[in-house]
Amino acid sequence: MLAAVRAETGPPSDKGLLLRFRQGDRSAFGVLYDRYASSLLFFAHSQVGDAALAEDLLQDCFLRLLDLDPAELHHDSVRNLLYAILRNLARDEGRRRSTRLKSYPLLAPSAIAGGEAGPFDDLSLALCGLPPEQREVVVLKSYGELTFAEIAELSGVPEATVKSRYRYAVLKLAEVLRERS
Amino acid sequence: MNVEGIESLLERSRPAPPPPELRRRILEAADRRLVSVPVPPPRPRKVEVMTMAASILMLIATVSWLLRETPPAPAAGTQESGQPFEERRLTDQLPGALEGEVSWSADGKHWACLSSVPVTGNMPMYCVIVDGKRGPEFPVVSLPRFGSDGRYAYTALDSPGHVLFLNDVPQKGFDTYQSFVWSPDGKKLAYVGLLDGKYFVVEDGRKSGPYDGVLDLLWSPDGSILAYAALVDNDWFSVENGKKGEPFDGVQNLRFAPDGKTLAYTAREGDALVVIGKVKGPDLPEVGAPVFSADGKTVSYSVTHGTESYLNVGPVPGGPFRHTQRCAEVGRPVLSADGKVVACRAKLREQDKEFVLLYREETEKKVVIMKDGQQKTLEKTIYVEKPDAMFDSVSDPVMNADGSQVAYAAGKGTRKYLVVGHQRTLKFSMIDRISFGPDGKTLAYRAGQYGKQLVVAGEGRSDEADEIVSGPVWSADGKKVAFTARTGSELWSRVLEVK
Repeated sequence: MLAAVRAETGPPSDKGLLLRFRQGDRSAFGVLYDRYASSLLFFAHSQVGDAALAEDLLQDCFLRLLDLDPAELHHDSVRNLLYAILRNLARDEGRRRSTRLKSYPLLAPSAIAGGEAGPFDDLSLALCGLPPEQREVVVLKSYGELTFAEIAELSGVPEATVKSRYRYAVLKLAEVLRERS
Repeated sequence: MNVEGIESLLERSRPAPPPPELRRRILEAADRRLVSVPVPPPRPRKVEVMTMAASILMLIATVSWLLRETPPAPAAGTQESGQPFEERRLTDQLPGALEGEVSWSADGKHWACLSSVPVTGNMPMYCVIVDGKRGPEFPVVSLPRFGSDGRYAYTALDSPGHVLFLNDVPQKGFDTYQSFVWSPDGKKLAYVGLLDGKYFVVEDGRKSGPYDGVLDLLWSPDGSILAYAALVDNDWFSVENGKKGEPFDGVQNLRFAPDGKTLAYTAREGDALVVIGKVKGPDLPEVGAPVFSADGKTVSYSVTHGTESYLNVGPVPGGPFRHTQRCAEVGRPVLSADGKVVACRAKLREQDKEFVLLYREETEKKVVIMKDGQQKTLEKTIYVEKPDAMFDSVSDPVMNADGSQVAYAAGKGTRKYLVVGHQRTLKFSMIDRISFGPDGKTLAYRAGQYGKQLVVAGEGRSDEADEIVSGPVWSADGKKVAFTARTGSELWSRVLEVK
């Protein structure tokens, strides 16, 4: 009973927010947006290399989510679904356009960095220098907070491959940042 | 740097926050989608209702969550623009970026807007500005709306939740306030308040309810009927002046038919349906909000069946309905005054392109020779569909009253074209707010180019501004359009002669 009460008073689930939005609670979508927009935009930007295009894709991604019937979502979280939609949109764009890098997504110190000025710009640049499949894994793991298994499911490759991509990516980043310093 | 150092750096970094303008853009787009969401709300089970109430109470208590929400908005389409037809500088002291549009009182004497204000912390703050006077600041606040006597109302996030303010004075009596709407004559204020997990509708001081949920607060055009959708014991009802209609699993998209008295809405009863007055339309998988012709004789709405969408078009109230071709997506229909022409934005399944679909009732005449050798002209009603040119994207079309002209903005690459009839005309980087003037031929719209915005009306063009905030609005004689423009920290009421 206590557990049930706790569940009812916890933060609203993604699915609950979508349902509330569909029932006219306009504020619910803002909460959902704030949950995922930063990391999704970073992911989109790192995929297409163009800030304006990434913003357009993010908008398209959220609007496509609204096309889905929340009652038919299998999980309370829509995070992975958002990443899947955004990844497909970015790939479609990649087929249509040149994937030449026009800008790179920016990083900022996280709360645990305590505002420390770190070499975040260097890290952003180094991330963009990674092969796309390695960059994708690092971004999804580090900023999307997806597990290796979830990334494997999203990208359609074995989990072991995802893990090795991550390891190669981190080694490459270490090498690049070592050279830059 | 070694592997551990990189992992630490990854952990200590986070993506830079998206620009606030993007948030606004996406939430506004979502709001527009909400208006056209074709599915009435599913019936919540009792436990879900309780969960919703609990969630709301939790939200009240958890200020950090609330601070990130957008405010409850006043009901849409409730107030005619009182944009005055005069050149006037409204203020030269906007404290920051303008947030949203400018609202005007019906007599054009008062105006209000929201402006961001510089803050020292991370939380953006917005101040209410009424007639140039800077008012209170809130992290979340809705645009003030005026009553007929110059009073203004808005909702804002103020401890412990959303509060309704009347002339900057917080109203009391409810835990939080969900939405409000002035009657069309601006004399009566109706709002939804939440108290102990129950919803109440307050109309001119009289309290309804209690309900488990309330949606779509709406006045009839003459202000004699207040309608809304209400949830009671797992059933949704349309409510008119406190009187409940038939129970459904969901009720949404309330609007009045052109007679100003008949309430229409979408409902869910297993399948979805459109209800007009007491007449239920056919059961369909999903339906969009009904749109009426001005003569009130024809209604149209979108139908979605799996991956296919089309428009239903038929006589009010109950059909029989004809339908347009099946597309991957259709937008909100527009109808000529007599309902014989219907248009909508559409997208085909096999093509990633959009177009405007025109559906027209025509009379086919055929001359036949009778047995007695005499000629006779037979007339037959036929329905003709004409898809217009394909573009990367098209806006919802606008139509003049007699249905002879359809106009819309069409995107190709980064350019936007104004398409009138089948003619592609001017191009800008942005075109929106298209409307026909009273003559049914001249168009006015907002356009953007090189980072600036302007108003175009007929052949006339306004000076460029940083932003066309509100309008253009046509004068009754069709000789002028009025709009509100911002350049830097100055806000102007502007008038453009139509050429």
